[in-house]
Amino acid sequence: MKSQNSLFLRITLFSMISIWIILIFFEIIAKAVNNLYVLIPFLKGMFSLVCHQDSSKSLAICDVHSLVCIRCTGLYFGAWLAAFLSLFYEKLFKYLKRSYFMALLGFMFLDVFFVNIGLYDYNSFISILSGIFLGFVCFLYLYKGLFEFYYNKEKE
Amino acid sequence: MKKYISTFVTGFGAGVFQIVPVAKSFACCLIIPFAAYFSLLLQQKANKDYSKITIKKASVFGFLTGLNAAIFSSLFEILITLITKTNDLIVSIPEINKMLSEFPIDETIRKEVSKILTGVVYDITHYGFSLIYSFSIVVNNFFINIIFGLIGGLIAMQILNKKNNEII
Repeated sequence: MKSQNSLFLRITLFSMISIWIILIFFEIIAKAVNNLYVLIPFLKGMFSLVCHQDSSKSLAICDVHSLVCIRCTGLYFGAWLAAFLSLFYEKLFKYLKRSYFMALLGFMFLDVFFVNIGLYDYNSFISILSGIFLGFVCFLYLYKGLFEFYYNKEKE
Repeated sequence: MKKYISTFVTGFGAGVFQIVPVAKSFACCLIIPFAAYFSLLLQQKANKDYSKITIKKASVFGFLTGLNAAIFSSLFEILITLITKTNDLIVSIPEINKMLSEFPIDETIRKEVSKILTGVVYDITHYGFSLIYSFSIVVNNFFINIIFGLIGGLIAMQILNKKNNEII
């Protein structure tokens, strides 16, 4: 794959995830910029499709809550982190193993399950950590798929 | 069309999961990507075809799963609102109004937003249907579910290809 095309793909993915992260914390921006707050109900509605938005489980910065829960914030932040690192390491996905994905997915599901059955209380640190790791690996899978697609296309 | 029946099944399941509150808190943003994964898995199992999944196939399955989930979840949401004449928006209206009054926005915009919200609340509580609310639900569902479906399809492609390679 020509490195220019690969860089374009990586920059595009990084930019898209960055915009998504900004939208998650849009309430903080809206608090600072007049009139932007009218967008919050619409954004809340949009994010309600992908998250339960329980305010007790969301990240609070300067008394303002993120539009998704801590676990989802972790997932997107993990993806953003992987996108950022892939800007410098083109083939970051070569370290990827299916067992990592399965283990991280299992870790997240067990945490959700144990919290829901009341085995232990909700822990923000575990939530965000499980989200970051899984988000990181998920992004690498996505990036690998797109990378191979462009690579095969150019070979043809 | 029969080829894509698995997207219909998992899309329906995801649509239901997106509406049920308890289930929603379990799977959160992983509902649609998982549905896309299972649609590809079901298709492979049903046809006993474990050949390499192409990006085109993964994208089509992801897209259709997201599309079906969007259709079903929009339909369920509108139907439940029609029957119960209430929904999450009605419950959160006092909170939204409080926030609107607290934040520094132009008085004209505040009045305009408040007017729209009051209209939506009136329509839902009296008729169980609001065109603005339904429109926003449909647009949101289609936009988000299709994007997450595509992402899920692409991730599933990598996982299933790797798994099938290991088996072969």
